[in-house]
Amino acid sequence: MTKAFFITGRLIMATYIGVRKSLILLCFLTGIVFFGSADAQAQQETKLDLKTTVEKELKVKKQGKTVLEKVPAENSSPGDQLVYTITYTNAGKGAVVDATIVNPIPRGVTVDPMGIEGTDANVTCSIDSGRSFHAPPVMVKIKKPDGSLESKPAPPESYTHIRWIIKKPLAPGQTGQVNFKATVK
Amino acid sequence: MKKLCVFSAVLYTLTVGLAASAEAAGTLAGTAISNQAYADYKDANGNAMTRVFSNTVTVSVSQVAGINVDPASISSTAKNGDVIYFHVQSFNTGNANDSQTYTYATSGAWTPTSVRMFHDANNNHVYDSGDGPSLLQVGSLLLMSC
Repeated sequence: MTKAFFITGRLIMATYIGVRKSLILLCFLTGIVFFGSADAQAQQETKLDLKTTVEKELKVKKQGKTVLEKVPAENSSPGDQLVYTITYTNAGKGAVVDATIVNPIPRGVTVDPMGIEGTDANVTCSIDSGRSFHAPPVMVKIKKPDGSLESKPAPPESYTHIRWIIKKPLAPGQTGQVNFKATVK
Repeated sequence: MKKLCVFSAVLYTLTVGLAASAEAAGTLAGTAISNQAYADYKDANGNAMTRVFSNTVTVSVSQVAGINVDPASISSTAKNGDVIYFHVQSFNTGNANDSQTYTYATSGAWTPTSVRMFHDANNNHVYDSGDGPSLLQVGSLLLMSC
Protein backbone atom coordinates (compact mmCIF):
# COMPACT_ATOMS: atom_id res chain seq x y z
CA MET A 1 0.00 0.00 0.00
CA THR A 2 2.67 2.38 1.03
CA LYS A 3 4.83 1.21 -1.81
CA ALA A 4 2.13 1.68 -4.35
CA PHE A 5 1.48 5.21 -3.15
CA PHE A 6 5.11 6.01 -3.39
CA ILE A 7 5.22 4.85 -6.98
CA THR A 8 2.22 6.94 -7.86
CA GLY A 9 3.90 9.92 -6.23
CA ARG A 10 6.98 9.54 -8.39
CA LEU A 11 4.86 9.24 -11.48
CA ILE A 12 3.12 12.48 -10.68
CA MET A 13 6.47 14.16 -10.09
CA ALA A 14 7.79 12.79 -13.38
CA THR A 15 4.75 14.06 -15.23
CA TYR A 16 5.14 17.47 -13.59
CA ILE A 17 8.81 17.74 -14.54
CA GLY A 18 7.96 16.60 -18.08
CA VAL A 19 5.33 19.30 -18.46
CA ARG A 20 7.67 21.89 -17.02
CA LYS A 21 10.38 20.96 -19.51
CA SER A 22 7.92 21.13 -22.37
CA LEU A 23 6.72 24.51 -21.21
CA ILE A 24 10.25 25.84 -20.97
CA LEU A 25 11.04 24.38 -24.35
CA LEU A 26 7.86 25.84 -25.78
CA CYS A 27 8.69 29.28 -24.38
CA PHE A 28 12.19 29.01 -25.73
CA LEU A 29 11.01 28.05 -29.21
CA THR A 30 8.32 30.71 -29.20
CA GLY A 31 10.99 33.18 -28.19
CA ILE A 32 13.10 32.33 -31.18
CA VAL A 33 10.15 32.52 -33.51
CA PHE A 34 9.14 35.81 -31.96
CA PHE A 35 12.57 37.41 -32.25
CA GLY A 36 12.98 36.00 -35.75
CA SER A 37 9.81 37.54 -37.02
CA ALA A 38 10.65 40.92 -35.45
CA ASP A 39 13.98 40.80 -37.24
CA ALA A 40 12.45 40.06 -40.61
CA GLN A 41 9.91 42.77 -40.04
CA ALA A 42 12.58 45.35 -39.22
CA GLN A 43 14.48 44.37 -42.36
CA GLN A 44 11.43 44.56 -44.55
CA GLU A 45 10.46 47.92 -43.17
CA THR A 46 13.90 49.49 -43.35
CA LYS A 47 14.50 51.26 -46.63
CA LEU A 48 16.94 53.93 -47.69
CA ASP A 49 16.33 55.91 -50.86
CA LEU A 50 19.03 57.74 -52.80
CA LYS A 51 18.43 60.38 -55.42
CA THR A 52 21.14 62.16 -57.37
CA THR A 53 20.86 65.46 -59.22
CA VAL A 54 23.44 67.49 -61.09
CA GLU A 55 23.47 71.20 -61.77
CA LYS A 56 25.89 73.60 -63.36
CA GLU A 57 27.15 76.56 -61.41
CA LEU A 58 27.47 79.69 -63.51
CA LYS A 59 28.89 83.05 -62.56
CA VAL A 60 26.19 85.56 -63.36
CA LYS A 61 26.36 89.31 -62.94
CA LYS A 62 23.38 90.67 -61.11
CA GLN A 63 23.14 94.34 -60.24
CA GLY A 64 26.88 94.71 -60.57
CA LYS A 65 27.63 91.74 -58.33
CA THR A 66 28.92 88.38 -59.48
CA VAL A 67 26.78 85.63 -58.04
CA LEU A 68 26.72 81.89 -58.58
CA GLU A 69 23.58 80.62 -60.21
CA LYS A 70 22.64 76.98 -60.59
CA VAL A 71 21.22 75.90 -63.92
CA PRO A 72 20.46 72.47 -65.44
CA ALA A 73 23.60 70.67 -66.57
CA GLU A 74 22.37 68.29 -69.29
CA ASN A 75 24.88 69.93 -71.60
CA SER A 76 28.17 71.17 -70.26
CA SER A 77 31.51 72.25 -71.60
CA PRO A 78 35.05 71.62 -70.44
CA GLY A 79 35.73 73.95 -67.53
CA ASP A 80 32.14 74.04 -66.30
CA GLN A 81 31.66 73.53 -62.60
CA LEU A 82 29.11 70.87 -61.75
CA VAL A 83 27.39 70.41 -58.42
CA TYR A 84 26.24 66.87 -57.67
CA THR A 85 23.68 66.53 -54.89
CA ILE A 86 22.70 63.23 -53.33
CA THR A 87 19.50 63.25 -51.32
CA TYR A 88 19.05 60.36 -48.89
CA THR A 89 15.71 59.53 -47.34
CA ASN A 90 14.63 56.93 -44.84
CA ALA A 91 11.65 55.64 -46.80
CA GLY A 92 10.93 52.75 -44.44
CA LYS A 93 9.30 52.32 -41.05
CA GLY A 94 12.38 51.47 -39.04
CA ALA A 95 15.51 53.43 -38.23
CA VAL A 96 18.36 53.47 -40.78
CA VAL A 97 21.65 53.01 -39.01
CA ASP A 98 25.24 53.58 -40.17
CA ALA A 99 24.24 54.89 -43.60
CA THR A 100 27.36 55.07 -45.75
CA ILE A 101 27.02 56.79 -49.10
CA VAL A 102 29.71 56.28 -51.72
CA ASN A 103 30.04 58.16 -54.99
CA PRO A 104 32.62 56.88 -57.46
CA ILE A 105 33.84 59.97 -59.29
CA PRO A 106 32.82 59.67 -62.93
CA ARG A 107 35.33 59.88 -65.75
CA GLY A 108 35.47 63.28 -67.36
CA VAL A 109 35.34 65.38 -64.21
CA THR A 110 37.82 66.48 -61.59
CA VAL A 111 36.47 66.75 -58.07
CA ASP A 112 37.15 69.79 -55.94
CA PRO A 113 38.50 68.16 -52.75
CA MET A 114 37.51 71.13 -50.60
CA GLY A 115 34.07 71.43 -52.18
CA ILE A 116 32.64 68.26 -50.62
CA GLU A 117 29.85 68.90 -48.15
CA GLY A 118 27.56 66.92 -45.93
CA THR A 119 25.88 68.05 -42.74
CA ASP A 120 26.01 65.41 -40.00
CA ALA A 121 28.30 63.38 -42.23
CA ASN A 122 31.87 62.31 -41.91
CA VAL A 123 33.49 63.02 -45.32
CA THR A 124 36.39 60.95 -46.59
CA CYS A 125 37.88 60.39 -50.03
CA SER A 126 39.80 57.68 -51.82
CA ILE A 127 42.60 57.97 -54.33
CA ASP A 128 43.01 54.19 -54.67
CA SER A 129 39.71 53.08 -56.21
CA GLY A 130 37.95 52.79 -52.88
CA ARG A 131 40.46 50.62 -51.03
CA SER A 132 41.20 53.27 -48.42
CA PHE A 133 39.49 56.51 -47.43
CA HIS A 134 40.98 59.59 -45.82
CA ALA A 135 39.72 63.03 -44.87
CA PRO A 136 40.31 65.57 -47.66
CA PRO A 137 42.77 66.82 -48.65
CA VAL A 138 44.20 63.33 -49.07
CA MET A 139 47.94 63.47 -48.54
CA VAL A 140 50.50 61.41 -50.42
CA LYS A 141 54.10 60.82 -49.47
CA ILE A 142 56.65 61.64 -52.13
CA LYS A 143 60.23 60.50 -51.90
CA LYS A 144 62.64 63.35 -52.38
CA PRO A 145 66.03 62.92 -54.06
CA ASP A 146 67.75 62.80 -50.68
CA GLY A 147 65.56 59.86 -49.70
CA SER A 148 63.40 61.71 -47.21
CA LEU A 149 59.63 61.62 -47.51
CA GLU A 150 57.54 64.68 -48.14
CA SER A 151 53.81 64.81 -47.54
CA LYS A 152 51.85 66.56 -50.27
CA PRO A 153 48.16 66.92 -51.09
CA ALA A 154 47.20 64.42 -53.79
CA PRO A 155 46.26 66.09 -57.08
CA PRO A 156 42.46 66.45 -57.42
CA GLU A 157 42.54 64.36 -60.63
CA SER A 158 43.69 61.38 -58.58
CA TYR A 159 40.52 61.22 -56.47
CA THR A 160 38.42 58.17 -57.27
CA HIS A 161 35.67 57.97 -54.64
CA ILE A 162 33.90 60.14 -52.10
CA ARG A 163 32.33 58.63 -49.00
CA TRP A 164 29.92 60.14 -46.52
CA ILE A 165 29.18 58.31 -43.28
CA ILE A 166 25.98 59.68 -41.77
CA LYS A 167 26.78 60.04 -38.10
CA LYS A 168 23.33 59.58 -36.58
CA PRO A 169 20.59 57.00 -37.22
CA LEU A 170 17.86 58.24 -39.52
CA ALA A 171 14.32 58.15 -38.22
CA PRO A 172 11.56 57.11 -40.64
CA GLY A 173 10.87 59.95 -43.05
CA GLN A 174 14.08 61.74 -42.20
CA THR A 175 16.01 63.11 -45.15
CA GLY A 176 19.31 64.85 -45.77
CA GLN A 177 21.69 65.91 -48.50
CA VAL A 178 25.35 65.60 -49.30
CA ASN A 179 27.07 67.14 -52.30
CA PHE A 180 30.30 67.66 -54.16
CA LYS A 181 31.62 69.97 -56.82
CA ALA A 182 33.51 68.84 -59.88
CA THR A 183 34.90 70.49 -62.99
CA VAL A 184 34.37 69.07 -66.47
CA LYS A 185 37.79 68.11 -67.82
CA MET B 1 64.46 96.65 -103.10
CA LYS B 2 63.52 95.11 -99.84
CA LYS B 3 60.00 94.19 -99.09
CA LEU B 4 58.32 93.34 -95.91
CA CYS B 5 55.86 90.57 -95.95
CA VAL B 6 53.68 90.26 -92.94
CA PHE B 7 51.41 87.36 -92.56
CA SER B 8 48.69 87.83 -90.11
CA ALA B 9 46.32 85.08 -89.49
CA VAL B 10 43.63 83.63 -90.92
CA LEU B 11 40.83 84.39 -93.23
CA TYR B 12 40.02 82.25 -96.15
CA THR B 13 37.69 79.50 -97.09
CA LEU B 14 37.97 76.56 -94.98
CA THR B 15 37.46 73.01 -95.87
CA VAL B 16 40.04 71.33 -93.81
CA GLY B 17 39.34 68.88 -91.08
CA LEU B 18 41.44 69.29 -88.02
CA ALA B 19 41.51 66.19 -85.94
CA ALA B 20 41.19 66.71 -82.24
CA SER B 21 44.49 65.46 -80.97
CA ALA B 22 46.70 65.48 -77.95
CA GLU B 23 46.71 69.25 -78.11
CA ALA B 24 42.96 69.32 -77.89
CA ALA B 25 41.76 70.61 -74.57
CA GLY B 26 39.11 68.86 -72.63
CA THR B 27 36.86 65.87 -72.75
CA LEU B 28 35.73 65.04 -76.27
CA ALA B 29 32.44 66.58 -77.32
CA GLY B 30 29.59 64.13 -77.09
CA THR B 31 31.07 62.25 -74.15
CA ALA B 32 28.45 61.27 -71.60
CA ILE B 33 29.52 61.77 -68.00
CA SER B 34 27.34 59.52 -65.89
CA ASN B 35 27.16 59.57 -62.13
CA GLN B 36 25.56 57.16 -59.70
CA ALA B 37 25.92 56.92 -55.95
CA TYR B 38 25.25 53.94 -53.71
CA ALA B 39 24.78 53.37 -50.02
CA ASP B 40 25.15 50.61 -47.46
CA TYR B 41 23.26 50.73 -44.18
CA LYS B 42 21.88 48.69 -41.31
CA ASP B 43 18.49 48.30 -39.71
CA ALA B 44 17.72 49.04 -36.07
CA ASN B 45 18.90 45.55 -35.09
CA GLY B 46 22.27 45.96 -36.74
CA ASN B 47 21.52 43.77 -39.76
CA ALA B 48 23.33 44.81 -42.91
CA MET B 49 20.82 45.75 -45.59
CA THR B 50 21.05 45.26 -49.32
CA ARG B 51 23.06 48.01 -51.01
CA VAL B 52 20.89 50.69 -52.62
CA PHE B 53 21.77 52.70 -55.72
CA SER B 54 20.69 56.16 -56.76
CA ASN B 55 19.35 57.10 -60.15
CA THR B 56 21.98 57.88 -62.78
CA VAL B 57 22.47 61.45 -63.91
CA THR B 58 24.19 62.14 -67.20
CA VAL B 59 25.91 65.25 -68.45
CA SER B 60 26.67 65.50 -72.14
CA VAL B 61 29.82 67.35 -73.08
CA SER B 62 29.21 70.08 -75.64
CA GLN B 63 31.59 71.09 -78.36
CA VAL B 64 33.86 73.97 -77.63
CA ALA B 65 35.72 75.12 -80.71
CA GLY B 66 39.19 76.50 -80.45
CA ILE B 67 42.11 77.09 -82.74
CA ASN B 68 45.51 78.48 -82.08
CA VAL B 69 47.55 79.76 -84.98
CA ASP B 70 51.21 80.05 -84.23
CA PRO B 71 52.65 82.52 -84.92
CA ALA B 72 49.71 84.87 -85.23
CA SER B 73 51.77 87.09 -87.48
CA ILE B 74 55.14 86.72 -89.05
CA SER B 75 57.39 89.05 -91.03
CA SER B 76 60.39 88.74 -93.24
CA THR B 77 62.47 90.91 -95.53
CA ALA B 78 63.14 90.03 -99.14
CA LYS B 79 64.27 91.39 -102.40
CA ASN B 80 62.02 91.96 -105.33
CA GLY B 81 61.25 88.67 -107.00
CA ASP B 82 62.21 86.54 -104.00
CA VAL B 83 60.05 83.72 -102.83
CA ILE B 84 59.52 83.78 -99.08
CA TYR B 85 58.36 80.84 -97.05
CA PHE B 86 56.49 81.15 -93.83
CA HIS B 87 55.86 78.28 -91.54
CA VAL B 88 52.64 78.52 -89.63
CA GLN B 89 51.11 75.91 -87.36
CA SER B 90 47.52 75.69 -86.37
CA PHE B 91 46.38 73.72 -83.36
CA ASN B 92 42.93 72.48 -82.64
CA THR B 93 42.44 73.46 -79.02
CA GLY B 94 38.79 72.52 -79.07
CA ASN B 95 37.31 69.25 -77.90
CA ALA B 96 36.04 67.92 -81.26
CA ASN B 97 37.06 67.47 -84.83
CA ASP B 98 36.52 70.76 -86.52
CA SER B 99 37.01 72.70 -89.69
CA GLN B 100 38.31 76.20 -90.04
CA THR B 101 38.45 78.90 -92.65
CA TYR B 102 41.88 80.26 -93.45
CA THR B 103 42.81 83.50 -95.00
CA TYR B 104 45.69 85.91 -94.81
CA ALA B 105 46.37 89.59 -94.81
CA THR B 106 49.50 91.49 -95.68
CA SER B 107 50.69 94.79 -94.38
CA GLY B 108 53.38 97.23 -95.39
CA ALA B 109 54.06 98.64 -98.83
CA TRP B 110 53.98 95.22 -100.33
CA THR B 111 51.63 93.15 -102.37
CA PRO B 112 52.54 89.56 -103.09
CA THR B 113 52.14 88.51 -106.69
CA SER B 114 50.78 85.18 -105.56
CA VAL B 115 50.19 83.40 -102.30
CA ARG B 116 49.99 79.68 -102.12
CA MET B 117 49.40 77.44 -99.15
CA PHE B 118 50.73 73.96 -98.71
CA HIS B 119 50.02 71.33 -96.22
CA ASP B 120 53.19 70.28 -94.49
CA ALA B 121 52.25 66.68 -95.05
CA ASN B 122 55.49 65.19 -93.76
CA ASN B 123 55.52 67.62 -90.86
CA ASN B 124 59.18 68.56 -91.21
CA HIS B 125 58.43 72.30 -91.02
CA VAL B 126 59.92 73.09 -94.43
CA TYR B 127 58.40 73.08 -97.87
CA ASP B 128 59.84 70.18 -99.82
CA SER B 129 58.94 67.40 -102.20
CA GLY B 130 57.31 65.45 -99.40
CA ASP B 131 54.53 67.97 -99.17
CA GLY B 132 51.35 67.96 -101.13
CA PRO B 133 50.38 70.01 -104.11
CA SER B 134 49.45 73.63 -103.71
CA LEU B 135 46.20 74.15 -101.95
CA LEU B 136 46.16 77.58 -103.50
CA GLN B 137 44.07 79.78 -101.35
CA VAL B 138 42.32 76.97 -99.65
CA GLY B 139 44.07 74.89 -97.15
CA SER B 140 45.34 73.98 -93.80
CA LEU B 141 48.32 76.19 -94.40
CA LEU B 142 51.13 74.93 -92.40
CA LEU B 143 53.42 76.28 -95.08
CA MET B 144 52.86 79.41 -96.96
CA SER B 145 54.78 80.99 -99.74
CA CYS B 146 54.52 84.66 -100.55
